[in-house]
Order: sequence, then structure tokens, then C-alpha cells
Amino acid sequence: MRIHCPHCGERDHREFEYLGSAKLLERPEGGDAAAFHDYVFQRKNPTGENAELWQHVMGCSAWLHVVRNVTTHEIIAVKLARDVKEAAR
Amino acid sequence: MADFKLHPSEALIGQPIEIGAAVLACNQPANILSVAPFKGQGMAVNDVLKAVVKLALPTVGRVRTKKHVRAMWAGQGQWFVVGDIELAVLAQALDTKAAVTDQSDAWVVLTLGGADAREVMSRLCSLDLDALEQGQTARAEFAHMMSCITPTPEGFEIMIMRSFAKTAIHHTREAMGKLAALRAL
Ligand SMILES: [Zn+2]
Repeated sequence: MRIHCPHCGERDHREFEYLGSAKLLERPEGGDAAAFHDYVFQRKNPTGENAELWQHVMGCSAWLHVVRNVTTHEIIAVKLARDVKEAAR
Repeated sequence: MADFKLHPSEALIGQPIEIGAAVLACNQPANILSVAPFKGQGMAVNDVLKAVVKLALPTVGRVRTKKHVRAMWAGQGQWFVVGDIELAVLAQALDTKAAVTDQSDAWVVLTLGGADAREVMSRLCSLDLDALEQGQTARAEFAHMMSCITPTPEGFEIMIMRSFAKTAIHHTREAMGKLAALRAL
């Protein structure tokens, strides 16, 4: 599995660290306990495409938003998590 | 301010290590300063650097040299200014524009040269070495450690964290030995 880092180009997956679902970027504002419970604990468990957060920890240190097919391990899209977060604002 | 600088007690590599057709040496620069521009301050940082060291920050994956100072990309939002440049000078000049920290004792600069430098490198680093040109620099895995890899006319410069330096030397020495043994068959 190889991931195309927007800064560094295509690199072996051993250079990256997996954090989890990209849902972590959608931290709820305010004190709604139910929304926060959902944010912390609830995850979809898809077969097929899933949006995830990876860090290029052995490289540029950037957090990446990676859309990956969890069945085939095909990497479909990679963006800087920073840009995805910015676009959602 | 207290002097927190660690003073070297012994050379990491006294004499260059030559095994087969590869040579590993330590080429520690006078200073390694990390420059991380604050949000929206990239252009302002460039202006200051041009005035102080006659260098602008290179783009992603590039390195630039002017006389005895070099500016290299070192990751997202971070650059290393390496060579004859004092922390106090740069920290003062970039005051409100960037976070400047002294990394001189935190990173070690190794050089790998000789006819087999590339072959040795390919055993330690998964970078596409064919695609790496002069003037480029890459943050990449080197012997399971994070590093900055910069091609040089003689081979490669490997920047590694000080605490991993002996491990890096050990692995490199091992790779050099294995390649030399292979060549002797
Ligand atoms: Zn990267």
C-alpha cells in the first residue's frame, strides 16, 4: 500500500501512522453531551470507501485526509487534513 | 539567559568509516536552526531571511544555499536554516514572524559518499533515489527512523535526530559491510 502525500509524493505506507476515522475532524461545538458521545465513540464500519486520518510521521509530519477502500486497500484520494478542515468551515 | 547548549564530549565519528566503496562521515554544521513561520507570516519571514542571510525559504522539498548558509524544507510549515548563523540573530530578526529554535544539538548531519553510496542508501531508505535530484531534500524513513535526506554531488546527506545517531551509524555500517561482502563474492 502506498500513499501519495501532497507534500512528499508517493511513499510506502510504513512511513505513515493511522489515527482513525476522519470524523475526528468534525469536533462538535458547544456542550451537547449526546453529540460529543457520538463524536468520541460512534463510528461507521463500512466495507468499501472510508475517510480516514493518517499522519506522515516519518516524513513531513502533515496530517492527511485519506479516502481508502478498506476492502481492497486502494487509496482513492489524499488531501491535507488542514485543507479539508478549512473547506468545511 | 542560561546556556543550555550541550557541548560535545567526543566525536560521533572520529575518522570517516570506509567500507568497500562507501564512506560514512559526520559533517556537523555550526548551527541548525528551525524556522516555523506563524500563520500568514510566510512572506514576511521571506523578506527578513533575504535581508539577514540573503536566502528566501525554498519551496516544499527543496534546499537553497548561499555562501555558508543553507535553507532547507524540513516538513509541513518548517524549515531548517543551517550553517554560519547564530540563533540570537535569527530569533531577533524573526521575532513576531516565526518560531525559531536551536536544533544544533538535536540533529546530526551524516554524509554517505563513494561509488556505492546509492547502493548502500537503497538498503536503508525506501525513497525513490532515481527521482531525487540535486537541490531537492526529502523527509523520509531512514533505517526505521525519521530523517532529512538530501542528495549531494558526492552522495547523500542524512540528517538524523541526535538520540538516534549511533543507531543510524550502526545500521549504515552494517549495510556497507553487507554490500562490500556481496561485491567480494
Ligand atoms: Zn509528507
